[in-house]
Amino acid sequence: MTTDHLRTRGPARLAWLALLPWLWLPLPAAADTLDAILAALSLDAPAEMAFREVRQDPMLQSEDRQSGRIAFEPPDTLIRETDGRRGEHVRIEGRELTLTRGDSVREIRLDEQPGLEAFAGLFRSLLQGDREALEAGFEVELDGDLEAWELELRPRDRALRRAIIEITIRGREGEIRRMDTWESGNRTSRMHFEAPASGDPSSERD
Amino acid sequence: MSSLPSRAAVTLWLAGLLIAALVLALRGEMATDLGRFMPDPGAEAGLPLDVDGGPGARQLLLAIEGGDAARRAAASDRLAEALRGDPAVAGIHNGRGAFDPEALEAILDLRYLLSPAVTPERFSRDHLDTAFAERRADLSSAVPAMPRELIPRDPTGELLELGERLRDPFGDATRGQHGVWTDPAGERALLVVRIAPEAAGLEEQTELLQRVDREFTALAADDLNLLQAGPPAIAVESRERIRAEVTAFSLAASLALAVLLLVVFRHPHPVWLAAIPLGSGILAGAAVVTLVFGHLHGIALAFGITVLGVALDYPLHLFAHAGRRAAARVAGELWPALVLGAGSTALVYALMAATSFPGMAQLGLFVLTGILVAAAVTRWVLPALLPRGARERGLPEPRLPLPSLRPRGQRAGLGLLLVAVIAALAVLLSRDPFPWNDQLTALNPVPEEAIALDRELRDALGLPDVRHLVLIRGESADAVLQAAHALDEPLEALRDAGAITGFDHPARILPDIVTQRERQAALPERDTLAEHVERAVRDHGFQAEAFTPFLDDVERSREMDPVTPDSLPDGPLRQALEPLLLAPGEHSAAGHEQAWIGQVLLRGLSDAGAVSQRLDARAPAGGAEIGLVDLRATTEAMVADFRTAALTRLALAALAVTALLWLLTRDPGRSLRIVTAVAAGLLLTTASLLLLGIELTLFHLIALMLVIGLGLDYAVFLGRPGAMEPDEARRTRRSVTLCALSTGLVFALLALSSLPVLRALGLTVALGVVFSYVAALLLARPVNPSPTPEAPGPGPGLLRSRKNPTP
Repeated sequence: MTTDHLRTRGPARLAWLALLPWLWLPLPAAADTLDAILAALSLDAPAEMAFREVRQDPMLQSEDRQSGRIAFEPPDTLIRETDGRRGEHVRIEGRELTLTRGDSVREIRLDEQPGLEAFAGLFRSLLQGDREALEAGFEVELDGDLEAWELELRPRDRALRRAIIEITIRGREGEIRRMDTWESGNRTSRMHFEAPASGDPSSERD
Repeated sequence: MSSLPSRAAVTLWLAGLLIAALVLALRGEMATDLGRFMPDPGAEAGLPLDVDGGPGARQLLLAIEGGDAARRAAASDRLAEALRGDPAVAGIHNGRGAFDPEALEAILDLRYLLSPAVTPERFSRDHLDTAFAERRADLSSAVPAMPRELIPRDPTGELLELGERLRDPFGDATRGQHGVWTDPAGERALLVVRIAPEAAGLEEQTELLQRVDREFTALAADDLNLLQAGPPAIAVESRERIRAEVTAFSLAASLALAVLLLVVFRHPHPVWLAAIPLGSGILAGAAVVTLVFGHLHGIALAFGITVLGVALDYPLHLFAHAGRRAAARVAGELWPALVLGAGSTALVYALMAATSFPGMAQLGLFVLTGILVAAAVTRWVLPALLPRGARERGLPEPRLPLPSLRPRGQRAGLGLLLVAVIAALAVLLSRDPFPWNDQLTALNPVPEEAIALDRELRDALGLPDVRHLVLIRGESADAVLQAAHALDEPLEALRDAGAITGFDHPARILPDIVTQRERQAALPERDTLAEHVERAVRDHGFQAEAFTPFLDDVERSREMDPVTPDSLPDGPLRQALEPLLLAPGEHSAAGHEQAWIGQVLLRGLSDAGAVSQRLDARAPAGGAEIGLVDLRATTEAMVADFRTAALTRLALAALAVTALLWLLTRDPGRSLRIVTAVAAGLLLTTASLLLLGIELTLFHLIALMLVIGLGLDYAVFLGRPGAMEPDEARRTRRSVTLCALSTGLVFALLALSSLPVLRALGLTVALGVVFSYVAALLLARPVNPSPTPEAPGPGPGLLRSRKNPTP
């Protein structure tokens, strides 16, 4: 009788047993992966990556294409530079923001630019491997593994959420490959990154 | 067994106390703000001012120090967050200037009427082209000049123009690396808390300050330290310090007095009975002032009680004279002298009561009432209150060492007194100008460091000058706004010339109706604008329909009703306007209750003369009156005016008191002696203060008035006709000595206080007691020859104390 039971119920039980790890494991597993990704991303030497950006804006007749570089100098200096007619150089150090456009250089407060502030915060926490800061600023959802990962990020700050709805970053190990931003008003941006190259970006700028 | 009249007196007294207590319980209101003690400086300057005392009176300044910059900034943000919902807080500013969406919407709605940049040229093709080019650059930039979501509505950037004006009307400090205000050295995070008008009372402010402290403690930032400054903090701290000192002083003085009386009388009754006339006087004075003025000012009460200290002498005279005699009879014997002393003192204060200085009028009325009540209570009630044994058999003879004076000694003393008085006169006359200190701050009980901190934070925050402001008075809000708008040009010129570094006025927030109409007229019609927009859109690659919201907004703005202070929506606009534009009923402008008042706040004023000259040169617009007010100079002038008036009244009082004395005593010689003694005491006291290097303030003057009262008391009693008999002379001398000793003791204690006001009072009165006592003693008429053999001595004027006169 017992064996009968076992036989009839065996597959179901096995299915349950099979499910159990899935109920329990995703959290620690994901956590481990995120830690691993952040560890792979974190830099302790200056680094730079080139990007191409395509912006879709309902106000514009056609999409807006730009190319440029993002550079990081530990501990927390971030530089975003774009080429072309509307090119600009943005340097964020601590909370000081310096904008250079053509010949004009302006000092601006970072908190006047919530979008850029969120962007800078995000890149800093990624490139410093600071998981606490990342999760303090965003709700983080992780898909995939270290080989091919995707982070879905939603700002926690209410004011910021009105401007930036979601950011998705795709990458492989310590490389960021693509970043999609959904902004309010149906605006989107897609940035493609090329592999980081070590070197001192400030000397290049000079 | 008390007689019928004395029973009636006690009943009447109890009823009076009950009524006074009822008045105080039902209608009593204690005012503590300096505004109600002083005349309104703005009103004196011809332009009325907010009762709260000028710009920034309700601004609490906070500084966070210690830790590192990041922790200070975080604490600043969290403290601001915690206090934002507090009903006593009208606004809290720490340098972060973000508007919430609702506030933003309200400003966007009105932007074409409010923005000073709206002119016909701004909507020309060229200007629009530039604006669209900038907006197109914004769309590609990581650092857009304008948030992307606003571009369709506001491509010309009116919001940016307004934002500059609205962001921080309450401060202009350095912004540190963490985005909050800091001092120039970056060592303190700074915040400004604007207190809501409903919470302007000192009680509410005290509670708010405590809440701020609690919220800060709740941040659990142990390495950080919170500093509070600004008028509310100073007011609260003054009160705490005064309260603590006064409590300590009252305890010490009561104890010292009780010990003195116990030692002198060796009996407990005089100790508690002595307090009854004074207590009744205080209660009656407080009730009468409340009935007449509607409230009682704390300062008037405090000084009133001090000055009323002379009423403590009345029961002491009674007890010291009583000896083993029935108190009621003694009270009757002393009554003429009591009437003379109390009556002349009351006369001095009656003249004080009739001044325009509200606090002084209250003080005068308080003391006047108190003195008369205390004298009457001493005469009729006190004897009846004595326990039966004491009433019938009298009190123990007081034991007190007495000065002995021989006629020769008295003559020598008089000579010395004459020399001293001449010297004192010389000192007084040699001081030119006379060292008056008319600054009220000279009396501020707050330590110098607190004042320095206040000044430091105020400078760091770039807050407007608290001393100077321009006031505009007009019949309507719009008249004031027009006048303020017309001041733009001269104020900008003054800024360019360096006389000021900046300014704020109500029309910068809300322009007058004519100006708003002009701006509406500058807006193009929809078709014209649509044409320009279409071209620009094509040239810069925008979508054809992208700027429809802009066209809609401009069209709507052309048709809008102009905004008035009433129709202004809640939020940052109203918050910024409210402190600058006061409606009738929001200010206490005597004689101008129906006027609207605009305040022009000046920053970094360095040349008041230039400001006032340029403002005078302008014809007032719209029938409004404009004037620069120097609050400190006006206050000082007012204090000086009051002082002159008080001195004139004192001179008048001297004449009146002389006349009264002569009338009551019908003895010109005695009157002259009394007046001379009081004057000598006064002169010597004042000269001593000057020799000690003290600048005389209003409160020294108050103390000198008490000295007059005491001098009158001593001289009147020592010169009583009855006191010419040796026995009675001895009693009188004993009672006056006891009075001088007790008053001198109390005020010598007060002179030890750390608060300038109390120290001034204590020192002046203590000196005054000594000089008045000596002068009164020396100027008293020589006593008749003693009939007793115990007093052998040369000549008829013998006078000496004897240890045990009664069998």
